[in-house]
Amino acid sequence: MFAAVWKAIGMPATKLRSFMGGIHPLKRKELTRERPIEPIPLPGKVVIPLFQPAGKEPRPIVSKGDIVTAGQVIAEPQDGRGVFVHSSVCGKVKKVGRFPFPAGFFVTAAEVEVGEGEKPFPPMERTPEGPEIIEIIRNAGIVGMGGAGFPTHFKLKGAREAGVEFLLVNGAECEPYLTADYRVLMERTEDLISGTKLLLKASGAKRAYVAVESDKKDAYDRLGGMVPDDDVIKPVLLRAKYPQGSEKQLIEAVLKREVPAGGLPADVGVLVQNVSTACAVHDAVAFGKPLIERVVTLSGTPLKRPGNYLVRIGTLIEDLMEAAGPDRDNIGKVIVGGPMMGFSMSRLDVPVARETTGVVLLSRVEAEVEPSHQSCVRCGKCLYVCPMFLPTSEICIAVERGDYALAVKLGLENCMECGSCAYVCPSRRPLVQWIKTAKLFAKKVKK
Amino acid sequence: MNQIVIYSVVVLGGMGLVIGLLLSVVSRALAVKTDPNVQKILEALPNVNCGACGYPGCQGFAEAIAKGEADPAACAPGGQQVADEIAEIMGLEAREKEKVVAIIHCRGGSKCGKAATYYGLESCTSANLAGFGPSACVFGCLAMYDCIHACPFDAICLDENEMAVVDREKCVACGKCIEICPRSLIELVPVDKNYHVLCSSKDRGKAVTSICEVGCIGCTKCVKACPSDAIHMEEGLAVIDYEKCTNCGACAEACPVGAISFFAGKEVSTV
Repeated sequence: MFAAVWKAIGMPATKLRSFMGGIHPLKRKELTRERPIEPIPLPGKVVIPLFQPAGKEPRPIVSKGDIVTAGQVIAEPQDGRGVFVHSSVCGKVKKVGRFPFPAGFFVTAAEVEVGEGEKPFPPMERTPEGPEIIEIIRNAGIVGMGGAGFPTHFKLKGAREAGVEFLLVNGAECEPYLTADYRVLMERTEDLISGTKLLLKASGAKRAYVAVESDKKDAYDRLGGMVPDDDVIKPVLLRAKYPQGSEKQLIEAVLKREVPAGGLPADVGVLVQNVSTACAVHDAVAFGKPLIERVVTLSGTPLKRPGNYLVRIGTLIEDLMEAAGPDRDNIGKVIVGGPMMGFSMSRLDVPVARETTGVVLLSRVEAEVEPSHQSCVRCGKCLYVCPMFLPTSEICIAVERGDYALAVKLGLENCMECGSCAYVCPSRRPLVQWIKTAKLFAKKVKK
Repeated sequence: MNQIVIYSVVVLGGMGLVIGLLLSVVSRALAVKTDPNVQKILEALPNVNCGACGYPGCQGFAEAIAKGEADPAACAPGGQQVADEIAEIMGLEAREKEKVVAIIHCRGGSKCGKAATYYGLESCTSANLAGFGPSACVFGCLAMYDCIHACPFDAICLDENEMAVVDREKCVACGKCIEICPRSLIELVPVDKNYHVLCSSKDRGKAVTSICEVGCIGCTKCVKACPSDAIHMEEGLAVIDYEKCTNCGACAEACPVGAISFFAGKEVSTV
């Protein structure tokens, strides 16, 4: 009876896979959903960050005054985890020094004044094997393009050694506003399939699942139409819920496997890669093209032309915004990344990094917030939505008191800062900000 | 009746005697060997448990000294006096320790431009995480109380310019504020030096003047003015070498913006 009604009102026949917890924020994806990927004009200068979240920062090998071409190596890795960094434009190096980075700290970066001499990357005829692909990926400077920026080659190497069974290609893109991965899924489907096959070969996994949320069903259908039923690659439709795109939640939804606290997906025989990363792998193998540009969603109501833009790595947010025609008087907030996990910026001279998925602008009205928060009322909403099952309210009460040891004991380090708890909190408590701060303080203050 | 009294006295008294003897034997045989010096050192220490020495409180520090692992002069709040006392207990030669105090290399405060409105938690670290915080200068003091809360000696406060300043009399150079400052603005300097570069901006001159009235613009006038060659430029910022500095004040006179100032107490005054 229930099933019949369910079908009659046009709901999908099978129950969609998902994870426990999570929220349903306002998506606002319609702003940029139907905008095809479009390259922006080259800016006057780019600032190419050499930062990577794991391992030692790559060592710059160019200095002031050097002439570089697009795709030329400008920094070499210092350890096994590091990747090469390439110039994203042709031009002259103006400065190698410390520059502000979206995450709120300074990183070594190279400022390049854009000149002329762009050359296309010719197709290369090669069919590399597993370890060879990993080497190509490292030389192409590919890092996880879903937001974390972890070096892809290192992840693959770990997965290969652990002997993973499954590769999950993450096209969930659960952050509101962002549609970059959706456009990549729609427009570069063939490259994605080719990249996924290369990743399968490199990781040694047997099967690949391309996970897409139910609000992007057309991408799922398109993918389903392009891969044969008995292929090693299979698209999976997941329930649209935030944070579905998080690594651990994706594994839970698709494979019903739980990654242990502090563990890696390889511990449960899974490797997760973003769809944009898979396309970058295809580019690196088929064209020898390093990671010098990426699709960035530029969205928000203060923009005249919000859309999905193909942007050179290192383009400043300022220049990027200019491409979409911003209504400067109406900008209330600039967020690098998605609105849930991104960083709001007080300055616009920060670069687009390899892991920057989008830039979201809020109007003055949208950005208005109540400046103060109230005490915790112990309603437990945050516990209900936490996808990591953490006692969020208790952690934050401990942090508020300055008891960082207790916060760590309650699982502070396991928080992935998805922001679901802060989204539902009726007392408007800045829960994620407390946790982010406490993670830094817990290291500094040993009590 | 009498018998009951006698029995109980004998039984209880006997038990007490036997257990007492047993305890005295056990306490000798299983005694925990403690260094008598630990207690003496602990008495000499200020017992504020600040942790500046790197050991878990004064007890831990005293034990480490008694074992000869820690430097007797490492107690920051105690200073020279305590170092001498400990050296005497341990029979060591006391080392002369230069008295240092913390200084915050920024005096922007209300003179620093604002780039954004910040609604989050009142903590420098939190604000800095949220896209460099509200101030236009990414190098300067955010004045959101992180160091003030971290200071165990109440030696840092906000002055009338909304700027965190160190009270040199209360500061014992424990280094807690240095650890907590998200922008690494705080440094320990010799207490007898009176001129300091009160700016940390590595921006270019024009960028600095557009956001701050008192920021170092990297003009190198101080470098030229210094008679003892104690100032050099690091990434567009003047840095004083305190070993060479003679307290003459020529740099402060030469500085066109007042980034180098006479700073000998709580008050900051421009020469």
